[in-house]
Amino acid sequence: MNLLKDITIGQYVPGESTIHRLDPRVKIALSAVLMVLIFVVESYIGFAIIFGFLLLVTLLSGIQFRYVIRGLKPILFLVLITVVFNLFFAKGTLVVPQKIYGISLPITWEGLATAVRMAIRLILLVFSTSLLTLSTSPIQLTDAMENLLAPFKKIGIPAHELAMMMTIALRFIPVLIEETDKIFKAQRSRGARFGRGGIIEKAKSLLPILVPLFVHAFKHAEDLAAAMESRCYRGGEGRTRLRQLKITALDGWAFLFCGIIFSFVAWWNFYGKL
Amino acid sequence: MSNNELTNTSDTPILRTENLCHVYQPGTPFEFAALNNVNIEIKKGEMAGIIGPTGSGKSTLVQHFNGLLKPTSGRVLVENQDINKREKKKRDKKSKDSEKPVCFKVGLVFQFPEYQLFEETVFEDIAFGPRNMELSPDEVNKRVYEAMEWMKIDAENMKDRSPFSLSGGEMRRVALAGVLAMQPSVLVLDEPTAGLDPRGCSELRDILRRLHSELNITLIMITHEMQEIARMVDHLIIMNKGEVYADGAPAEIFSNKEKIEALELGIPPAMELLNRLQQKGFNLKTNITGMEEAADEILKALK
Repeated sequence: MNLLKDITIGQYVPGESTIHRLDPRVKIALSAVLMVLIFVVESYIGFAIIFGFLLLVTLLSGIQFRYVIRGLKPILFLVLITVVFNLFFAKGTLVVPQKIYGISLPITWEGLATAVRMAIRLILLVFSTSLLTLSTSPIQLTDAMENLLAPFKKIGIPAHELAMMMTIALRFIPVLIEETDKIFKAQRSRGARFGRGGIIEKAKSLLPILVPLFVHAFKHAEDLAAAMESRCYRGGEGRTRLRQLKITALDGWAFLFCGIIFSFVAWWNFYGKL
Repeated sequence: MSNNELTNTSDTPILRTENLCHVYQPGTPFEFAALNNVNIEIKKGEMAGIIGPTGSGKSTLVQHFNGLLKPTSGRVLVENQDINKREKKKRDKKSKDSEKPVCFKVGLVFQFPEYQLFEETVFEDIAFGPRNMELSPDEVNKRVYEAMEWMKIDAENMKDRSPFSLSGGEMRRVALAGVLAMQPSVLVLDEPTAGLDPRGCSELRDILRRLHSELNITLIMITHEMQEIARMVDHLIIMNKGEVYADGAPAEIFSNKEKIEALELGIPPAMELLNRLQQKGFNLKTNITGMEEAADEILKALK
């Protein structure tokens, strides 16, 4: 039972590939454009091109394909729900017009088409975002976030504080996962059983895990606050950074390449349909 | 490895591993072989120690003893029964208590066990394990008070207090009592004295010694403290890089100085002293790990 170890979202795979070396800001910006594109595109050819593009990026990143795919597992349920909803709640021509045992199957061709599109969109979306997090370290990601949000400081968005919160949150995900695993094992050694009985029983059986976990989390928070204070942390004002983000020629090429592909897909979608 | 050194004792083995291997996160970029072909044997009533550098697989190994981790390959036998096989058989029959026998026979106490406390009172927390065994309330009561007595917990004053209001040493003893109350025949402890002050350490060691001698519990301890473990245990297993590096009586193991020093684990101070004296030309035995015995040996050599 190592359920927690299967979580790949936000799990960084260290590497030196072209994709890893791209500036995180460029990666975030391009991912954002791609996300919009995924929701704008209607044609299957467009989806196919995007899928091909993502495969190419996976190949370039040197991350095992099946490892990326594992990250899709947790959202399969979500995809299923979306598909079911779209399938049954769309108006149009029925797929099976005849009534069977007096009940007509409320599935329409239009619903079917939307359901398939939504499923593809969700999968592509998670595929692209997991590629981003798999090839970019959390520290790089938050640095880039802070940098990208900096212009909004003027309208009162605390870019540095947000980035710091994210860094800390990300930093403690593995710690808390490990601790949950440990507490889980310790309680199981004391004969605790999980996920048995009714819903109240199930919830109760989580107490021996949740209580120690919260105690831990608060202790970590206190320790961290003390450590930050003792190093005179005062927030973002006047802070310089150890790792400077630099745009290189590689980023230019990435922009150009993605720009061409993305605009082609968009053009095909709006004007290319025959 | 050299576990046949022990087969001449007539005791029956209570715990045995056969070609035990464990791979973490197989099929990911983080794949890691933590245990490789581990064959060890613990006799009934033994006090055994497992030492080794960080990442040598000690903790992974002991988590196999009560079925928390399943072997990637190989077998774990408790009282000559494959713990994973039996479980499977029971699950096929859709029995509810598939994990019952194993994790109650081998009690596992993790490092810093005080972090597993969660109940409102000390009594309730110690009773958690026995209650999971579905014992009668009277039996649970009896076991909790017994465990408190063994762990030197003042039942009158402490039983209704919140475990979170106790001192570190007290919390540790409450957590240990929680496992002890399940009355396991093998007690496995991961760094039982880590983070305690010297007095807490020696108190806890005394308690463990008494558990071993008076209750005849088989004790297995993971530890870093070389000098203490060498004096306490009668069977020592040294792990390195997921493999058994040395296995035998402490005096035997430490007498192979080069092998031990290669791991930078250090050897017990008494032994180190005797070794140096021998190098200076004194005629004495060096396979002694206890301070008192070493003093006697030096006196003998000086006569």
